[in-house]
Amino acid sequence: MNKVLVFDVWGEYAHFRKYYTTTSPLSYSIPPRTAVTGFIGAILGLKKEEYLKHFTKKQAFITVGLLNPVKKVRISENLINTKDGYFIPFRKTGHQPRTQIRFEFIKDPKYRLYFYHTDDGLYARTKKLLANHKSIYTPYLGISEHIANFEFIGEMNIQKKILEDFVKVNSVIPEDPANKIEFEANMEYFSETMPIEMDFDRTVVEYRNIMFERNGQRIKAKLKEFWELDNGERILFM
Amino acid sequence: MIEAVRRIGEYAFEKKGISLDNSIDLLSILIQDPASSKAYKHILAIKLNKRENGFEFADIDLEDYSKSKIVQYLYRRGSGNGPDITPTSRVTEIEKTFVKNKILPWFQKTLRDETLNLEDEELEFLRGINDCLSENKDLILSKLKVLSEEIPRDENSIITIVIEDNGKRYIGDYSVFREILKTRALSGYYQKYNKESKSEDKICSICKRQKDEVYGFVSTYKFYTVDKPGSVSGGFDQSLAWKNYPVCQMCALTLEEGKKYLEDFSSFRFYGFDYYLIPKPLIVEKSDEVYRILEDFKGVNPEFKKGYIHLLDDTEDEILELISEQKNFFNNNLLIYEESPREFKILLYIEDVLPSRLRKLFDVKKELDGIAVFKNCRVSVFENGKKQVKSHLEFNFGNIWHFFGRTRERDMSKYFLDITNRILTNRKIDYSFLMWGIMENIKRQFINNFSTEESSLRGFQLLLYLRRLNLLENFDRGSYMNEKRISDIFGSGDATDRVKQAEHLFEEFSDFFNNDAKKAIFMEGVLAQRLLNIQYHDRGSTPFRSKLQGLKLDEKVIKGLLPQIQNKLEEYGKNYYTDLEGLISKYMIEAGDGWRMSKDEIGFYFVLGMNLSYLFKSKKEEETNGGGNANE
Repeated sequence: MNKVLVFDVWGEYAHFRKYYTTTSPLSYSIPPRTAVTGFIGAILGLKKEEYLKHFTKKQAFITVGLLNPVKKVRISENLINTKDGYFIPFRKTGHQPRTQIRFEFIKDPKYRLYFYHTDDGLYARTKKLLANHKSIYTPYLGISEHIANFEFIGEMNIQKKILEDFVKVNSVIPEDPANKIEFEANMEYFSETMPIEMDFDRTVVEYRNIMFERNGQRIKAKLKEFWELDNGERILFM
Repeated sequence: MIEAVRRIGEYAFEKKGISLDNSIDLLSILIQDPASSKAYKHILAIKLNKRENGFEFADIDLEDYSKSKIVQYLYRRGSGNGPDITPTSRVTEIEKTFVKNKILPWFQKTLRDETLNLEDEELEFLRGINDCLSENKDLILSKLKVLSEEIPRDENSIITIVIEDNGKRYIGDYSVFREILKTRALSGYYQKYNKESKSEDKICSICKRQKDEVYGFVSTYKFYTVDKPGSVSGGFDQSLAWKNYPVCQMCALTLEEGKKYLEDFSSFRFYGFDYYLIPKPLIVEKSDEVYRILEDFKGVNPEFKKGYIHLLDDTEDEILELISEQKNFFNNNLLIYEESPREFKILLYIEDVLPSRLRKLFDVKKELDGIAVFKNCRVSVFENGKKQVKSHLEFNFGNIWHFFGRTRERDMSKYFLDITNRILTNRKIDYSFLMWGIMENIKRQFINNFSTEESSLRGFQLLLYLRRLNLLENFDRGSYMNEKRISDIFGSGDATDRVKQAEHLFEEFSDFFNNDAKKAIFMEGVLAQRLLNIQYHDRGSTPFRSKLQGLKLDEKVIKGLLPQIQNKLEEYGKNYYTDLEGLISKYMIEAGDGWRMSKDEIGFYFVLGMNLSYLFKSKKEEETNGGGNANE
């Protein structure tokens, strides 16, 4: 791997549901790797049933950087009540047609995505679509109500680096006992356990703790290895 | 969050010396004490003799309940109307408990239950007991009734079965009952809604390790339920819920224990909201220390707890000050929720509040509490359920609740929670929004002729608090008064005590009175209140109040009011305030035109002046009026 596609995505709201919530859904602050694969799959027009087989960790290298501070808001939404297994559009004893759910959303989210794929054809197709600001399906941030915009920043050369010193990292930092974080004052460190990779039948095969700084500041860390881009940005893949 | 709960669960197990790898320990976790209160003092033991070809009914023993026999009683609560998990049940009415709902139906249900995969021998054993109980149903029932009449009315009993089988044996002494309890207690993690959701050799989302079995219905808190197919993303198939939230047995039990621990040691309330304080250790070695803080707090005597300063709610137990004294080796999450038997709604989840952040919040609070104008303010407080007047306005989140709370007319608690979140996590709050909330309340009181003193000072205190924490967004930084320019225009002159007093006040709160327009408005409010007091003294009414337009004031009205107030004071022959009038004029000239202040903001500075007008009382007025205040 010697290059990577860099593009920004943003929208008014985002919701990446934490897997252990359903009726009071909380949101991750950043899109999990699994959500990014869906995003890229939508741009490429890969079908729901097939996209996962193109995005295993062996083929697809993905990570995320935070560009806007994380702002969380809560909004109640009336969802269809599916309790009795189907939609009954009117009120009857013991059944309401709607159920009110209080969602947690990310307001004004903006992320930088870094993507490389071992399949040259798929990589080139992604690059072409991003550069022309085109997508086959509509990309969104977590749920279909939050349509996203995106901008291609460019294709950059990258180099693997192994350094003894502390460096500032632009992407999120997946937890690894070999990595050391230098905790600085006035920085707000967050870590969330999120799904990283799904099998073709949507079974999660890896969960990982991911660390980031809430305001999008770069975290200083001593790393086993990392990747450096042409423009000086440093990243770790999720 | 769920990880923090698991860590607490692990700690709680460790503290109790329980290891989940040990099947005896697993049983002790699942067993519940049948004596849910001290009133459960008696055991009604249905005694059967084991014979070669079955069982025969012997008698009913009335025993004293003993905590040391909990494992033998082998109790675990089932559903309300159905049987419990084993044939040990609390007595409601003898007939209902024995015949209709619990004991006999337990055997009938169990013998039909194919999911238990019982061996033939076990089935025969259970069938034997069932046959014996059914055949002697009427005899047992009448004996139970007779014995239960011996029990005092204020005491309760528990029914169980004992078997004479080479000595007296309780159901807990038989492996078949123990296995049934384990299977049934754990099946709730994967059997529900007539569906089964589990899988083998998959990754558990909590411990992130591959486990022999993972379950899909582990609903430690009811913010995860898949009672509706629509809640299962990726195909609306409840039986595949394990794909979304796979949890292994060990983690499910650890989470339960963590939940229990939080309920015991870390659940609190403020302004009618329940919350859990969930600490998350940042340094693994110090984990225990974090939890010990919680235990210490809940363990101390109530009198000692009163010594802690309260930030959120004056009247509820609060641990935050104790937390704020700690070093940053852990952070805190606040889960504010609403719970009913059917659902658990997360109203707000505040993440990662460090002790140092809390310390800052307390420091600013203490600073404000020491200020004289707040010390002299009379406020109503509720102590032991009674309304009392206290002569000291201390800052707490009650100031926010005062303006953004829940009343009969309106519910602004959503804003209250949002502001709380922002303060705890260092996010800015829009200044004009706050002003709107504050003035909505004050204007209502003003129109109804209620005192606005408490509200205006609470508002003032809140704004100062946020200002000093640098949390006010869009607060007009204004231009600091240029003393030199004023004295250049007017000459330094001989400032009276009152003028000095005003300047002193503006200096003390220079972060709040940060431009001349605000000072002019404030002082005009002072003057207006002095006039109202004089009117009230002379006429017993305050007709000038109507000129204040229900506090819907703008720059034009403020400028027009000054000559009117002066004129009235002259008409009453009591214009003792020419120095203040001069000062107001100076500030108005300095402020120029176009103040760019909202009506709410102008109204607030004005009413604050009215309520602090006592600081500028004239001696002459005091002599003639006795210093009474018309705004009371």
